[in-house]
Amino acid sequence: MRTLLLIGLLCSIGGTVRAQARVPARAGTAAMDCRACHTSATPTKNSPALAACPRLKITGYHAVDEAPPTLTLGRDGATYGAVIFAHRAHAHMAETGKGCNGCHHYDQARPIQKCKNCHAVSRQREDLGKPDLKAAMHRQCLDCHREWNPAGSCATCHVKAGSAAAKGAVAPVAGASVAGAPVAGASAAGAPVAAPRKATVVAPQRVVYETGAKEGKTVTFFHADHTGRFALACAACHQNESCRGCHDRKLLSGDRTVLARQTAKGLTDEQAHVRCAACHAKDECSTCHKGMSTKTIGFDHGRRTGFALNRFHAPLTCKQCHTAPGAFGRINASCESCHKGWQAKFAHARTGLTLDEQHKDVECAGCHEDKTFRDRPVCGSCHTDKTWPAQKPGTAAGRPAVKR
Amino acid sequence: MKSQNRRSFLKTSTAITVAATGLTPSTAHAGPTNILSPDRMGVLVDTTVCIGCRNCEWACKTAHGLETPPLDAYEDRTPLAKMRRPDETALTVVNQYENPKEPDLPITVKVQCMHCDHPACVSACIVGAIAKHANGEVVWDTDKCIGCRYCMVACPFQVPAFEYHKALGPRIMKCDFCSERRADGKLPACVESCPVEALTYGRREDLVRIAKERIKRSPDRYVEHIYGEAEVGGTSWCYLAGTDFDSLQFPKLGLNPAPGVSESIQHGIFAYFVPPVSLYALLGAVMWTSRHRHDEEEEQS
Repeated sequence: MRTLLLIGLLCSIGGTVRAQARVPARAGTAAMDCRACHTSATPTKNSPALAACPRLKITGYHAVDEAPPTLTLGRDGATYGAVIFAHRAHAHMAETGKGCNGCHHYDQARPIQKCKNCHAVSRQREDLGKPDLKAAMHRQCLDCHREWNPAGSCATCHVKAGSAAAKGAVAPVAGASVAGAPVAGASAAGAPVAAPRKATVVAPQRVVYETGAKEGKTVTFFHADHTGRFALACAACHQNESCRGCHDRKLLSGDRTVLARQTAKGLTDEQAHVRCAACHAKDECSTCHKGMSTKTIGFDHGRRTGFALNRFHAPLTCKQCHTAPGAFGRINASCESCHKGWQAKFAHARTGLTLDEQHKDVECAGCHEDKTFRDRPVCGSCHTDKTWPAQKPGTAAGRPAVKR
Repeated sequence: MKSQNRRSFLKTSTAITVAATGLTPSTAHAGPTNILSPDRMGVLVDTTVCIGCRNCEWACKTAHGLETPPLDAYEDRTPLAKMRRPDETALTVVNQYENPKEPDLPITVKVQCMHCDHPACVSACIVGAIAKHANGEVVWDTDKCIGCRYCMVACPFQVPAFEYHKALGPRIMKCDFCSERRADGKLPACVESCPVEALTYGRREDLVRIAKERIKRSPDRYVEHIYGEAEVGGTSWCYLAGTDFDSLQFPKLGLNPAPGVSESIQHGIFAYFVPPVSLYALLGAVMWTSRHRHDEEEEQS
């Protein structure tokens, strides 16, 4: 009995020790690690270097499809009733933008908080620095809704007191049906949907981008093909964009086929191409960049890269040399990097020097030092004292001996 | 006998003058109250937040017992197309201006009494019917008003209105900062009704600090100017805007209190009764010398 007690005590101590040992480790992951939010080691107030929302990773918070389908916001007043908000439909839309953080802001790393945890319910309050609950909610919605629907009224979202909807016949669900977004949320909540107000996004037929690059100044993007023929979801391409990217009425002219926009500046080639490269990695630049001929667009390949595109290189497409997907970085300029095994069938006599018996077994690099084959070697380049064969080329200058 | 009388009159008048001079400090304070408490309240109007719903107009009329259509009638935005001023039927109005940044989203600006820290109307009122109170409000007293409407002329913002159509008991009508509601511990009606809290009610000091914080935090959103922080010596209602205040028809006023010049002249003339006393003294001296001359003339004749 004593022994058992002792073992039990030891076990419990052991357990305690383990538990204590575990605490710092758990605290390290549960409490915030600076790097969870900041990408830079030295974030400043002006450039906080914020990473994408780590909420999902940290808390294991639900996926968008598990988001509450509808929420009732506010309460019934004398003139206007509460808003039944199609939360999940908005969450789906938000996938193309800032995600959950677009609305659940300033609190990225913790589980999603109720609005009233930060925003005071009463307008008479201590902290006037942030809006009260009613104002915060109105601003949240109106920030987007005013922009793409300036004619909207209070009744766009609120049920009017005394109306048929308010008496329980039908309740409009704000934003229940959105182009491309599932409306399952609305029906799942059991709230009948009456005349859903569509946040219709009129996608452009094609978009002509003005790029900042010197080569391929304009890119014509066939938007309708991608959404229609290839059935890509909006969020497949549109990430981290504001609502206005699609809901801006100035851009919503479906009839206009050409919309000139600047691509974001300061992007590297890879960043600028990453969206298209997922599908178009093997396509030619000219598929997107019209008039990609270097001469027509004034890109001096020779001066900019040190590799002039003369004669036989002139008609080549970029991809024939720049094979890495999406990137136009500096490639190995040596001929062999592209022309592998060409020497075997090269008729050297074309250059004016017939390789005789003495020369035909010499390695190319034995004479063509720079491997670019640009400068023609003359006898004196190898035969330093010009008294061949008294002194064979290469040996004096430390070159590899000529194979016999 | 006659000279004796004049002398006694002068003596009495001097005594009265001295007595009056002694009383001057207390009489100056007996005038219209203008107490600038550091805790005076104000409202910060953020025109970049205002959506032009005009709920404040409805709430104001309801709170002041003025005639108004029901709230949902205010969803009609056509009245915004016309430039309006506060009048005896509407103590506050919302006007609409073009937005150079966002053509689709016009700027809307609520107009009402600014509740100046040094109100020209208070200074101009000859019967002390208008007063600035410690809680920031500039209010009008129906029992004292004689209907001279000097306040209407004096106001640099042209806010006070008069019930011309009323033959009996016409009133000066202007925003009273919801004096009664605030005394009951409630918010001003407009502030309470604003759905987006474009109107923030609080201590004026706090509001100016908050306004500065907002400008600092979003320099692109605001012009670096808090209208009313310094205009005409400061106003209890202050404004933030995303575009130049001139283009929103805010009057370009100096930083000196509006009643400054007129008050300094008027008060200068009557300061401590020195000028009247000096005038009387001068007149007395003239009379004294002329009386002497008169006696001499009588003797000669």
